Amino acid sequence: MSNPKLGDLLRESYARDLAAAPRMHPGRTAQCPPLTMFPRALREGWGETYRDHVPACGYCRKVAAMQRRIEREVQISFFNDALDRLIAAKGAADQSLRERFARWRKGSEGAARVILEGARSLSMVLGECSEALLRPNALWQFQPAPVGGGTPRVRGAVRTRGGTRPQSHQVAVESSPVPGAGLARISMHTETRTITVRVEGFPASQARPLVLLIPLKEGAEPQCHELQTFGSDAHLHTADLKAEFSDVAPGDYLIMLEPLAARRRSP
Amino acid sequence: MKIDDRAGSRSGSEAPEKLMDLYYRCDDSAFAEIYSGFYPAIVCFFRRLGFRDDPEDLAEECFLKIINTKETGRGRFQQEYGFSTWIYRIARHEAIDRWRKQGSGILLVDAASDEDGESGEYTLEHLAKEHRTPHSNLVTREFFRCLQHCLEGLPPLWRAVLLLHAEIGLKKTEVADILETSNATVTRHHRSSLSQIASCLGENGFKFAFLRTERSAAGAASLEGG
Repeated sequence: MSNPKLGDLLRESYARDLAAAPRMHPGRTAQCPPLTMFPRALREGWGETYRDHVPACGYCRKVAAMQRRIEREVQISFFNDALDRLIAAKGAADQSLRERFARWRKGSEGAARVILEGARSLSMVLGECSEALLRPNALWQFQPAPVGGGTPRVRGAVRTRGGTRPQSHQVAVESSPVPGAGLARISMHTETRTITVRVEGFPASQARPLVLLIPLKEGAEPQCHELQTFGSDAHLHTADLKAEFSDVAPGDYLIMLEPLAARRRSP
Repeated sequence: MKIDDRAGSRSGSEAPEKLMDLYYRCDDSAFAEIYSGFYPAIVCFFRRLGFRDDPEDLAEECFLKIINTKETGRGRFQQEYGFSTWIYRIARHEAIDRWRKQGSGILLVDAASDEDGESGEYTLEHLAKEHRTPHSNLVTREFFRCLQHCLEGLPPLWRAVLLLHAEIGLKKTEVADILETSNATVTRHHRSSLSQIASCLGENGFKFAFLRTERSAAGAASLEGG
């Protein structure tokens, strides 16, 4: 009998390990939902079959945490790609714009993830957004807004479907008012599919921030608009600003507000 | 390649590339088949890279990342690449992320290359007395315990090369794709890791000698880990 070769022994060692490896995650039970359901269910909520099980199951909670971590990584990667594209497209001939985009990479002044659902009657869900997208002490932190007849919360999200707000075609989320920066508001007109970002009570003397709309879908183009003045208060030296994105298709989006120039100069 | 015993699944099923195509067309049962075929292999990959605490969680996260490629289209599987290359690449990035979070050694990619070296195989030359059995049976629990210890002493990149090429049996070109390096680097690390393992085993009473082979087709095939 010839002496064994190291390569054969390595393969045997691996084969032993493989034979002993679990066929599926050891925490998984017959009651757990399929892995493929997690991304969608975490956006839209669990159906009746799994609603009670998931919060009580260690494995499901673990997978949900993994999914949220993956989503955060995906958001950051889409955000960085969007900035790369904008630098290439708009910053190439404009040094100042290029610098603004480069600064933006360190974090936004406000960020929200909105999920637009449905082909006919659109609804908007405020999804979870990675904190890493925000600059430290970001001014505009979005909260679901109590509009219309009241909007139910689903895992920190505002859900507005036909039945919950029958009289209105507009849904919104807004930040708390911030002294020296105003109040930021993201709204969606469900019939025209227009997303409007408003900042009310913004210092008139300050450079107006840009707003980014980033589809979380490979190949879809991000859009960048500058907030435009639509009203002002001469007495308070403030302006009301807005940017509109029209005919937005159903999907998952990030809405990002550029970090404010005045804060960049502050220590 | 079909999902086969190498990946830890039943044979005779659809190729994973085809299954991914079906999954992207909303056939979740195709994903279930991929999962059952590759989950044990991915757990093994993490275990053998030294992740002893939660290789099952790391593997689960890899499959969740695959699901997310369907959701966002980002990092989607491309049919022109082999599925094994793609999934081990995802697993490698998962390992790098974990190492980075732990602040420990990172699976660095060494882009340096060199000429292909001599061909040959390490073959058992001498067995210390304490390891001898009436049947001269080398393949003992003690040997595999010792081999595991020696594998754990390898630098992460060498370990990955040895695992993917010598143990799992992927081709050097596939390993180079997974590790995002050159074939020459894979060859060099493969040789170095075998040398270090042989030396480590020698210190423990399992002496291996490097027996050169002619640069023939047969020699090349054996070095490929076939």
